[in-house]
Amino acid sequence: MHNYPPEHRDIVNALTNGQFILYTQPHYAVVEKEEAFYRSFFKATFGFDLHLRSEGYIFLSSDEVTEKDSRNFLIFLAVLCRELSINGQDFKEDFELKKFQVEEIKNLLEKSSKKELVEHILTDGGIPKLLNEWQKRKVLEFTNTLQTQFKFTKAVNLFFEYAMELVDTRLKEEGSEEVDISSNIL
Amino acid sequence: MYKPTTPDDILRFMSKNLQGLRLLFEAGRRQGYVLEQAVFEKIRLENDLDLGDLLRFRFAKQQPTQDYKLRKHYTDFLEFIFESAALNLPDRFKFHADSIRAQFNDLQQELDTAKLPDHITSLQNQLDDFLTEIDTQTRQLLRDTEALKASGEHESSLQARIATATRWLDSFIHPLTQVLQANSPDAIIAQLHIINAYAHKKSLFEPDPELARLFRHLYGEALRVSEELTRLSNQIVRELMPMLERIRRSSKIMAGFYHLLEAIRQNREPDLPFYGLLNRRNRKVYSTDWKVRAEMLLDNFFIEPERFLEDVVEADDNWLPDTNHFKNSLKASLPVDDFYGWCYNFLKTETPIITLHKFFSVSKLLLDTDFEADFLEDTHRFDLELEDATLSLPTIKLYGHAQLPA
Repeated sequence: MHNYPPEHRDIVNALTNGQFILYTQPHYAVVEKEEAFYRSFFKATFGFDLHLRSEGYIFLSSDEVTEKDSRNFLIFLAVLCRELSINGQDFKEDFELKKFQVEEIKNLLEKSSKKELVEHILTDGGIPKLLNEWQKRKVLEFTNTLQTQFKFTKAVNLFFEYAMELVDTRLKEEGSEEVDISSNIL
Repeated sequence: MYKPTTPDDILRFMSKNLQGLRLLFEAGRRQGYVLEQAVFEKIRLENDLDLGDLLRFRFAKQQPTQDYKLRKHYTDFLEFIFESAALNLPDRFKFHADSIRAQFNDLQQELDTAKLPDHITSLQNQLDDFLTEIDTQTRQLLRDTEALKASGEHESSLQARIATATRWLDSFIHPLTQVLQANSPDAIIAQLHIINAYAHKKSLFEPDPELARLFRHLYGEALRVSEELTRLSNQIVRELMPMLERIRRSSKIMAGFYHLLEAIRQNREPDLPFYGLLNRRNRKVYSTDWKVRAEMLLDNFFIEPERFLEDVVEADDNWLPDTNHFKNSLKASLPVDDFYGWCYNFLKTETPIITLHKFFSVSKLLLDTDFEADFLEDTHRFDLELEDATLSLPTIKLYGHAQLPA
């Protein structure tokens, strides 16, 4: 009989609810210590895969779910990074350090030539709703009570990681080191 | 008339034409200081440089291919004064390291003490050359990387930036750190330590004071070079590498996002699916395909027995009330102690099913003027069960006019 850690219930609830566990949360260390157990526990119980990234975040994935939120969030991030780069900012640095103003993000996306892509993915609540959803998942956190200011957590790196893997996949498919990017990206 | 060139002439020429020389130098910097004739001529004419002087001072010489090559002595000097160098291939650093090793071997194996001073000076020069080159390269790389990071001076096209960062990292910086790394046995740092220890020992035990002095100089030089190299190596590892890795990473992320947005725009799935993150909702402990399984179970194992619906056959009830017949029957039974009881019993003889409607069609005789009813106030009531109702009725006595009690 396995001795469950006292945080077990919270851990399972958080992860199966689509949340990331960050290294700043006490639960992170518990899962890290019991990684082998949790890996097999989630696989055997739910058929989910546990991912523990040394950058400091944990999440679950499944082949069977159809989930639209993360695709939408990727589009949001892609356009946001594009706009930040155009403005000459090092977006990677911004994502690690900067506190973003919700209004500022709205204005930035409003000006973007990819505006319609973003509008397409937004629901009635607009950007605040989208941010709120990902705040609940712990990919970002509001830094004031009015929720007008936020910063990204380490978990956002998963989306960057994906972008880099996408490039590698493309390169492999094209079978060459040439990245076919037209200059209109920037 | 042949006029010998003096160092003064050269310096005057350089100082007068520095801008033009700089343009030639910049144009050739990335091509090993070889300029195509057309480019060379264009810059020369635009800056009013005298071809005769350029050739006389041996600043440039024409190759058999008609291209112009700038002389190394000048380019080295210009690199130094403009603090701008072309990146050297790491092989060159290796070559330097090898030369230092060879020089040092020669010095150790030299038996003729008269030749020792030359060996020492030569080794010292080798060390200095090596350090100067690495120092220049590192500065250059740092400056270029800063520029690349801000994507200012350099081509800002993403593809070019990724390519540049990748090339610098793979071709220069990683090999450079390998040459400098202290824990590799043939690393230059290890070699320097050996030279250092050797020179130190010699400077202490060499009986010839002149030689001892030279060894002391060598010791100082080796010490300085190894300290400087450690500093540069740290700078490369601490500043250059993270900066370039960051550019490479950021650019790669942008490229990935570009592919993603393109895929979305073309309404197709990206080449790589994203992780299937879980939906954000409370989840019960059951399998994700429970619905399919439940449906399969219901479809296959819970077969309901066949049921047949029969047409309801209406009972043949064509009984019709006949008030005269009732009245006659009632008259024949008078006097009646319990009128409602009589109605019920009478109907039972007429029809199998007694409904409320039928009951009233008989009991309405109570109101007939041929009869007299006797309603007892304290009579007890009784229940009568009919087909479609239950009645609570009093006991009523009924008489004909002739039988009225006195």
